[in-house]
Amino acid sequence: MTDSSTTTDAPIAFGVDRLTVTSPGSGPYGDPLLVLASLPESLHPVSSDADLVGLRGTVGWTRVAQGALDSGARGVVVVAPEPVDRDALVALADRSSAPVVLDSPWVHNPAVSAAAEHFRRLTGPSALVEARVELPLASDLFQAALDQLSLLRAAIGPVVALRYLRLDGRGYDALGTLADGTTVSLAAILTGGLPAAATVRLVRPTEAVEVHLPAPDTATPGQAIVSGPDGAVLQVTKYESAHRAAWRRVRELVLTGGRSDDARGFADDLDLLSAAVRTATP
Amino acid sequence: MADSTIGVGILGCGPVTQAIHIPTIDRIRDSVQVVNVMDVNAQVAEAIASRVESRWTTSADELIADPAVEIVVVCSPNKFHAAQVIAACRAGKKAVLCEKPLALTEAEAREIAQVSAETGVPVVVGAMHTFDPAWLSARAEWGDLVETAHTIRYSIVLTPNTRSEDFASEIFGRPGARIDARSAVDIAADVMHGSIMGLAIHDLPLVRVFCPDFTDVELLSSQVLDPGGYLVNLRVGAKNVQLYGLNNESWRPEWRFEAVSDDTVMRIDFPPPYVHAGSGVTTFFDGESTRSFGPTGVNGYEREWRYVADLARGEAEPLDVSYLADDLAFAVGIADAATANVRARFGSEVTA
Repeated sequence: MTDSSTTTDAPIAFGVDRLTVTSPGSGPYGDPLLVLASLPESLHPVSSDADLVGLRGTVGWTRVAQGALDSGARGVVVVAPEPVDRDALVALADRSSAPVVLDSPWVHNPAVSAAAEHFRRLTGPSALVEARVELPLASDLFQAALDQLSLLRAAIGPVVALRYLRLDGRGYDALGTLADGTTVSLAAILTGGLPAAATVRLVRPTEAVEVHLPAPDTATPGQAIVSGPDGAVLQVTKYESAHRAAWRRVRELVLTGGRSDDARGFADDLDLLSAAVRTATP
Repeated sequence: MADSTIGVGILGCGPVTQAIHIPTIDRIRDSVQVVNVMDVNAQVAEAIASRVESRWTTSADELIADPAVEIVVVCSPNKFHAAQVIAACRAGKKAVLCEKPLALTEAEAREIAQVSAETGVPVVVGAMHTFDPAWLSARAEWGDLVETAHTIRYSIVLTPNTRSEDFASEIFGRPGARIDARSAVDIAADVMHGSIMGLAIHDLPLVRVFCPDFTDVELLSSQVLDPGGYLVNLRVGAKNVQLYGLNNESWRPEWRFEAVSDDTVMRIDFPPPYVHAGSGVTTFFDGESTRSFGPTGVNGYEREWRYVADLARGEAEPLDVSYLADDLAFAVGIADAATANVRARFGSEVTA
């Protein structure tokens, strides 16, 4: 079974199916697992031999994730995954019998899953998708684009072609297409004027869908709005951080025997982005 | 007509005249009054004249020659703008208000500037957002943002004009849809050019303020959007500029201008056109705090008209028409480049 959703609304079981969680120490891959305090009935931190492993996605994280799975972990969460060797990603995707969930910054905000059904319903040649991120000065723009592609993949679908119009120290503008021909405009703007945030908007002749996402560090809610000729509807607002939603997702996948396509999608996005960067002009 | 009111003559009685200018003039009826209207369609001219109790004509020359007309408003099709503005200046009117665009070409705009200077007749372009209190607040508060801004975003997502027009007035003789026998590439090219010169042009003067090197424009991309709109990416000097405009049927109108620097984001949200929904709102974000200005009850249309009335009374400083010609040149340059690109890339993938 493969899941295509990013978060679920399954009720939390009290005291049952609690999974144990660990992280690889305080080194570069160690994650403080602070989020576990908000899931005390579902997840429980232990020092080793855990059901789940949470690690930071710093360079080389695939090796650590693979090691965790080899050691018997039933699921892995990679927080803020950075670019890695594609072959290692594919190997991880191919080998994993246990779910590897990539906790990319924007993907797991509940507003994304709230909007996804509407986004996917409305794509097509007459639609335009705009994706924009505002990030702090000096942010890594390759990482920014990778995270943006992950967001688009989760919200709407994978971007299959990408061309930079501009890539400089202030951000980028790019054009892409989805598999069905939908045009996607991608932009990153570096500024200290606004907190980090991401927006995706789809506009077509009669309808529009937009999702506004705050930085994933807090439970500041995202917003998903669907509008058409009859008015606009703000989807249910959920004060849940993206990290917490990611952990709920991996837990559910483990308990239901589900798998994750995250690593495969990440590899495809990495391929696409690497090719686009090679042809980008400042 | 009271002795103190100034006579207005309007060339062209389409939806812009009916939904924007006549209701706005009515708001300041203590200082201006419509005395003559012209439209090539006699029925339309007569109907609009009956609303404002003015004379009517089907001849632009006749209206311009009317001595009771002290302010000429040019709302005719774009191709007539330059000739009519110049004729009004030559006739020695007190002021001319020309709807966007001022002219079709830079050469025409330069000629208008020359004639305005020769005759001393002030010319105003109906770029209402340049008069909007939100823009005026922005100018007063933005500090060095013009120099420091690196990214400009100008986005319009609007419901069809007819919807706003029908809230602002009751349109008589609305022009019918065009029957199109052109090729797909010609239609796409016309949509791009028409959208830039008809929709984007509203706030291109605002964009230009933030682009001191406005003659150094590189087109990065241009796309026609369904059912009518544009997405244009530009480098203007050292600034990154994106223009986006689209009509759609959803109820989420957006009219936003943004300037972004390393430490500040300025965002101006304007109300939809046609309706008198008060001013826009300007918000500055500096990472630590947010400052907001507006809305006020007065919008850009009313400010624009009060300024034109003051001009006609000799109580306001005229605009530099050469500056308005620069605005036009900036817009035409973008429209031409974006349209040529649409033709060149027609049918190819956007990522090609």
